[in-house]
Amino acid sequence: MIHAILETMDSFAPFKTVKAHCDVPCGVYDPTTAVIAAMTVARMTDTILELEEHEIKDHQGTRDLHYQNKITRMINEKERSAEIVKEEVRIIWGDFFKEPQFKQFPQIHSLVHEVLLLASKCKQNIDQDATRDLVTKLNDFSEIFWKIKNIKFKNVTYHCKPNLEVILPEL
Amino acid sequence: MSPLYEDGDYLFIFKPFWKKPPLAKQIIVFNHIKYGLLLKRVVSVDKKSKIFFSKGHNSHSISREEIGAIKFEEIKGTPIFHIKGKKT
Repeated sequence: MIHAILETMDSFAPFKTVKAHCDVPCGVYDPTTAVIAAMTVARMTDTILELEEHEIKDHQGTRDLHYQNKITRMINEKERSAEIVKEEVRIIWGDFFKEPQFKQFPQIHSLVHEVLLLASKCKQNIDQDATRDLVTKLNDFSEIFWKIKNIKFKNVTYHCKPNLEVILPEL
Repeated sequence: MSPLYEDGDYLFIFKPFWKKPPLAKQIIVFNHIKYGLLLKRVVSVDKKSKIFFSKGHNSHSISREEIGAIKFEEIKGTPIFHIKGKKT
């Protein structure tokens, strides 16, 4: 009742706002960005291989300007997305996780290191297995994150190719 | 300061006119040069230098090192009434 009255007063003549908790300025953390980026890495790796196969089969491996344009764009996207994975995971690990979470999930350091190494491997190579491993490790990372947040999550088949299994929150 | 204070809660702040120094463990509102108006708990007070250090209530709060030393003159007051908002 009192809160509702104050809320009404606040809407007409706003009170001063005090920041009270969590990371300033945002405190918004979500591994889903990294998951989508990892799926893009997997998709780009697949399309690069498909394009190469198509080039050999249908164009006698001429690799003309059209091909070079396509492959360059795919590699760029793979590179960019792998970097997003690394950046997002680094931020969550460095800013979100604190001592209590490290104690609760002591494997987080080695897990983050594995994700970073796999993302680099995906950048350096055209390696489908590495992209799948990256998504799997990222799922382990997401699972820990959602457990800490006490938010239910589910294992779903991602709606875009290559339709891998990913961990997403039940929001 | 969650779960003690949540988004949408209302607080009535009182500032003693005689400008008493803050006490350890006291919750106060103060102005921070980088973060603006903050609500934190006092962890230590240096009456000689007229500064204090503070921290949040949970493990995700910005650390006392990040907040740094705050001058007494930046204190806006201490909460005397707390009206909790709807649980989201």
